[in-house]
This record gives sequence, structure tokens and C-alpha cells, in this order.
Amino acid sequence: MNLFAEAVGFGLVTAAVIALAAVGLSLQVSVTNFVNFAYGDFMTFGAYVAYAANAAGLNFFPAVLVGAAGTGLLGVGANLIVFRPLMRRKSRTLVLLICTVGLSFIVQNVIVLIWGTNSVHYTVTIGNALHIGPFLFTPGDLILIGVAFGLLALLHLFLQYTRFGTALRATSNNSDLAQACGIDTGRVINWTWAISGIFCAVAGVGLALETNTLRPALGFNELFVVFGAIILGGIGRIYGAMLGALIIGILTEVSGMFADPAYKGAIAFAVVVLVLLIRPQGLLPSRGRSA
Amino acid sequence: MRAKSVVRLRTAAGLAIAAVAIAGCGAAATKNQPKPPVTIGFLGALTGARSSLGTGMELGANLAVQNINSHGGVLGHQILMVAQDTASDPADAVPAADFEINSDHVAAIIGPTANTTAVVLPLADKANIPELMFGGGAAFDQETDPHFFRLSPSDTEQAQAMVYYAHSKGWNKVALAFGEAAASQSLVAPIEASLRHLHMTIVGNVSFTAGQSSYRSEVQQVFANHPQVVLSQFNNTTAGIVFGETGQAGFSSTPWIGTNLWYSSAWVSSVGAAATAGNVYISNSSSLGMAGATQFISLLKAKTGSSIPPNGAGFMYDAVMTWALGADAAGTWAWPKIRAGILKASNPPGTVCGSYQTCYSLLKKDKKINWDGSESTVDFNKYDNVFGPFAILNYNSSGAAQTVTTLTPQALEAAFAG
Repeated sequence: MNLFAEAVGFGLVTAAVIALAAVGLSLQVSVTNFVNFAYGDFMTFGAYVAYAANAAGLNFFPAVLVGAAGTGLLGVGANLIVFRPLMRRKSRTLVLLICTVGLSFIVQNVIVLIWGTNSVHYTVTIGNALHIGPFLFTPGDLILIGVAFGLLALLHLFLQYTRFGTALRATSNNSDLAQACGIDTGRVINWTWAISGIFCAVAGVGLALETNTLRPALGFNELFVVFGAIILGGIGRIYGAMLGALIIGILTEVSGMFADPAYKGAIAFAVVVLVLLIRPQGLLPSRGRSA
Repeated sequence: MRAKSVVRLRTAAGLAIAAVAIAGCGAAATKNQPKPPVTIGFLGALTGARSSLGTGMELGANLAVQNINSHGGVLGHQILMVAQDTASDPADAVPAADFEINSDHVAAIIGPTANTTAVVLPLADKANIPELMFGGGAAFDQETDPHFFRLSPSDTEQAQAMVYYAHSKGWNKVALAFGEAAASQSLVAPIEASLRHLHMTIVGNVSFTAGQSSYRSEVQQVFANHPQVVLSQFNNTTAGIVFGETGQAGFSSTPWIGTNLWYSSAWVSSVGAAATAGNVYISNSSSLGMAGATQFISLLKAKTGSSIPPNGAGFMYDAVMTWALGADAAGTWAWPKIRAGILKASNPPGTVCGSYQTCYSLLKKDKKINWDGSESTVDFNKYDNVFGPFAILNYNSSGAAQTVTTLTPQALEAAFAG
């Protein structure tokens, strides 16, 4: 029972990281209507920018803010330079997807060019594990869970109770109608990329801390887990992405207690496939895409 | 009329003299023309995840080639070494080997590792050329193909070294933590056999799948029964995560014994502070007492400025030297005499020699030599495997590996006999 509870606790930490990443990606997909395959590399980029700021002497948390800002700018830049011109030309979704794959290669190689291929570490560590009830958490785990919860709560408040959030939800539901109603959808999309970049960077930093190592392929290796979470929750549904992340995070760790840990990823995704066979639209009911 | 005859005679004589002179020059030129080089082929991972190993191996092989060439070459022929990249992938190794055999017409193949030898050896076999490989895969412990020669100790011997050291420290409750890759899993069986031989207890055996972002569950399973030591091998990325999570879980005081795969700056970089905390031991091949080490290290230092060889360099140096001395002993590099020559030059009895010029001069005097390399005595057993000493290393606080003790093959053989 002790090991099971500990596994659930580990799963919550994993879920926190996946949730941050999945929500950011889901937000972007809901508004732009295509998946960014460079998202994992955006996560890595954010983590490396934070590392650079940290290594330059900035305290860890301000360094994370720098990383978040940098990745937000990267997202906006990618939209302005690559995606918006293509979308204006009514390019097919396949073209946009291929561009994101190309962007993934570019970002990953820029990271290698700047920071090399050797692993690097932040100056901060997440501390030693403490027993909190039946769970085993480090101080860093608790901060990560708290930050994830806080950011997701902020996003919820933003989407539900601000004018811009309403405009974002409207654009996500029907961008043509939103534009016809006077919403500057171009600005909404830019800000969506920025917010997605912020979540992405924080997820990247969280992942680097949890894995104790920051390397160029960090985010890319996590991408399909993030995809799994947003598909399970319902593509483009932010709250669904949170739920999907929670399920996958806990399943991944708990399955390792009962089966060969080598198969824990496979078991988690087998459950995802099973759920989708029963409920192909995802776990949460459809109430518009950014819901 | 008479003047014309004289002119004709003089012209004819001049032409005859010129013809003789030209013929003489041609003969002299042929006599002074250097012998054509003999080509050997290096196969290694020059790109990809294992390129640090492949480039180290190539360096060692090149050092041997340069050394031999500077002392007159093999049977008077300079060695030309061509290199092809396998990217440590059997699918790439096949065309690479095929090119070397059929286009470069190599006399020997130097360097496939354990995961590419399986596909290269049949090609070497078909071409009737020797393959001198580097790698510990236990699958080759009883290889019967006569073209096969292994210049590095088997994982079986490395497993014995790891277990022997743990036993010597009184760490008899052991957990195993190995990556799921074949190269790591191949160590598990010999380690288990060695542990049983010394009546040690296995309290955990957990497999680590590469590419995951968390191994907390696995770490908990490894330490669930309070092992006194963990024997391990997995890749650098996995090691970074595992050691981080081991520290977070409060198990950082338990010692680890890893394999030579962990003997690299990339591993230290990945693992970070845990690597230099003093609890990680590494079993690595040792040059201690090897006759060929002096010349190898001297050549290495002249070339690179460092006396610490990269992983694989010493073994491939030994491989090229072994082949060259074998050809010198046999008087040819053609099959099957080259095989007999390799065994004759490498195995006892004979005068032990470690430098090319010493060994070659003894051979020229018709003396029987026993060539000892830089990483092992290069004494092939009946399956063409060699055995060497193992050093147990420990990283100090600045990330440098220091030798704690050296285990001789004789000591290991005695401990695990019967």
C-alpha cells in the first residue's frame, strides 16, 4: 500500500508537468486548428533560456520568467514569420504540420549550436524526499505541483472572466464569426502563441528539474506523452487536457508497481486507446473547443 | 657517300646507347619503387550516439598504423587504413563492410563492436579476411568462426570484476539495475552467475527502459530490500535521471558499481554532482603491467597531448598491431596463414615484447615472440578471446577518475574457478 501511494504521488508530479505542457498545446490547437510538432522543442528552448539566465547569475525563479518570456516570443515569432503568412494563403493543414516538423529540426539544432550536446544542470536542486502522509515528495515536487495548479487556475480565470479570454474562446469556436463580430483574431492568435509558449517553458523547466538533466532532446522525447494527454481529454479542450494529463501521469507511475516498469508507458497508452475506443471524442463533453 | 655511312653509323650507335641507358634507368626505377600499400579497413561509429567511442577507436587504430609505417610497415608495405562509418547500426555496418571488402579490397577489418560484429563477421568470413573486434558481448565468449578475434575482455570477465570487488568490500546484498538494451542486459546473466558462485544475495533486479522522464517507481524497487550495493549499466541520459531521483529518494549513500560505459566525461556531465560524491565505482579495462602500454601511451601523448586514452583506443591499437605482427610472423597477410601468424605472434611461449620495432626485430631473427598489447596480454584462448586486468575507478570531487584497485585476470580466474 505504501509503494502504491508513493507511486500515486510520483504520478501527480509527472501529471503536473504533462498538464502544463498539454494545456499550452491544447490552447494553441484550439485557436489555430493545427498541432505544433515543434512544441517539445519549444519546451526545451524555454528550459535552456532559463538555464542560460540562471547560469549568468540570475536567481532561479526570475530565470524561469526569462525562459517563459523567451519562449513566448519564440511562439509569436514563429506565428508571424511562418504560420500567419501560410494561413493567409489558406494553406492546407498538412502544409502547416510539415512546417512545424521543420521548425522542430531548426529549434533543436539551434539549441545544439548554442549550448552543445552535453547535459547541463540548473544551480538549484529539488531537494530530498519527505514523507507527507503516505506520499513521498521533495520540496521541488510540491512547488512544481503548486505552480502548475496556480497557472492552470490563472488560465481558467483569464479565459472565463476577462474580455480577452472571452475573445480567445470565441476565436477558438469560430474565428470567422469572431472576426465578423469585431474581434481582432490576429492579435488573439499572437497572444495565444505567447501564452502557450509560457506554459511550454514552465513545463520544460519542470521536466528538466524532475529528470535532473537538461539536454537537447528533452522536450521532444516528451511530446507523444503530451499528445496522449490532449487526445485523451479531447483535442482542443483545455480542461480535458488537464484531466488527460492527470490520468496519464498517475497511470504511468502506478502501472510500474504492478508490471515490468519497462512497459509502463505502453500500459498507460493502452488505457488511452481503450478509453478512446469507448469515447472517441475524448473524456470531456464537447462545449466548444477551448473548454 | 662515305660521310653518309658514318653519320648513319653514329646515329645507330647513339640510338643503341640511348636504348640501353633507358632500359637501365627503367630497371633502376623498378628496383627503387616502393611496394604498394596494404589496405586495412576500420569500421566504427563515427557519427551518432556512440561516436565518442568510434572516434576513440579510430584514433587508437591510426596510432598503430602510423607507428608500424614509421618502422617500415608490414613486410615492407606501408599500411593504408580506410574508415567507414557504421553509426553503431547493423543496417549501416553491412554496406560499410561490403564497400571495404569489395571496393577497397581490405586485408583485414578492424573495429566492429558487439552490435555490428554479428552482421560483419559473415562478410569477413566470405572474403576470407580476419575481423578484429572490440566489445564485451557475452554472445562471443564461444565464437568458433576462425576469422573472428576479440581484442577486449568479455562482459563475462567484467561481470566477474564487478562482483569480485563488491564481495571484497563485504557488500553481499546486491541489487541489479540494468538498461533494457541488449548490450546492458547481456551483463545480467554473467553477473547473476558470478554472484551465485560467491554465495552473494540478489535482493532486487530492475530493468530501466531508456527514454522515460521518470524512474521513481523503478528506483523505489531497486532499494526496496536495502541492498548494500547496486551493480548497474544504462545510458548517460537514464543515469542522469536515475541518480537524481535516487538522491531525492534518500538513497545516495548506497554505493554503485558500473561498467566502463560510465567512464566518460559525458556520463559525469549527465549525472552531475552525484557522480563525484564518491559512491560510484566503475570497472574498466586496465593497462597496468601491459607491455604494449608504454609505446601506446607515448604515441597517444605525442598525438593528443593527453596520456588518458579515450574509450576503445587501446583495444584498436592492439588490434592493428596484432594483425601486423601476425602478418610479419606468417610472411603474408593472406588467409589462412594470417590466422596462424596472429596466434603465433600473440600467444605464449615466446619472448614478451610490447613495441612494434622490438617485436619485429625479434621476428626477423627468427625468434618466437609473445606480443603483449596495451590493454591485455593478447593471449587468445581457443575461442579467440583475450583476458585483461580490470581497474576499479572512483570519481573524485573534480570529476576525475582515480584507480582504487586493479584486479588481475589470474585473480579473477582463481576466484571464479570451478
